[in-house]
Amino acid sequence: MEWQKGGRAALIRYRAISDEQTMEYFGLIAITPFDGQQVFFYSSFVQAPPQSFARVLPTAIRSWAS
Amino acid sequence: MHSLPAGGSGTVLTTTLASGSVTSVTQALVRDLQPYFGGTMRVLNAIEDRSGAQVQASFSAQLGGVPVIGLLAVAEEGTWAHAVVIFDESRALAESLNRLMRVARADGEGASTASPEALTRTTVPDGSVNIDLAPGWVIRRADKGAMDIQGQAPGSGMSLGAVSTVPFTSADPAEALVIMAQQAGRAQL
Repeated sequence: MEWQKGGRAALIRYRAISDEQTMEYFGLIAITPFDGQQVFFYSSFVQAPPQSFARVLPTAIRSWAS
Repeated sequence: MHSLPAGGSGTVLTTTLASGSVTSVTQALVRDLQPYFGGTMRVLNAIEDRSGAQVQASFSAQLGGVPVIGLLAVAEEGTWAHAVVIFDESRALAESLNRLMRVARADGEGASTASPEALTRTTVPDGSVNIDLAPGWVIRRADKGAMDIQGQAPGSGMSLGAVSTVPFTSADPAEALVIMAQQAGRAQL
């Protein structure tokens, strides 16, 4: 989707493995051109292990939206 | 997928997926499970409820050369689809099925029917913004509207409003996310 100042954003559901630990994520990622060599990188995301993600997400989204 | 403690023989797997139609989610789930079963998974029958919000299916497969049979269920829950897969050795499922279904049901109830927690308006330490937080959620860092919040569940949390300049020129947010994750050491995304 369009983002401010000519940028683009996306709501992204993803899973990442770090230090052999799997985490689930839901986030808003946006990038806006800066000077031709860099971009502004904006992120907001919720994270939780797979076993609790479905329980955590609704509460986290309510906080995020507040 | 996440494996739940089954309390005996058999396996209970759960996952949460971005929701499309439950049929398409189920088909994707079966595709995702094929490597787990070494390509031997065969759906025996499947039923979609009238509302189109749930699919249940039975399947056979082999796991390490051992024949297994099982059930899978996919239920739409708003933006997400919650999937449960139960299986056991073919000769054992008749005895373990009720126990495995109780394990799956307890997990699903926790995910979908818990009452919404009351949120408390909280001002971040630098005074820049307010946010409503559930009990046990703690602001660990805040700076000019950006904040890191630790959740009550182990490993859970939020990072909100983080902005940085980074040295690449991708115009694709998903690609940018992968680059940032790789730079942060999250080798697999």
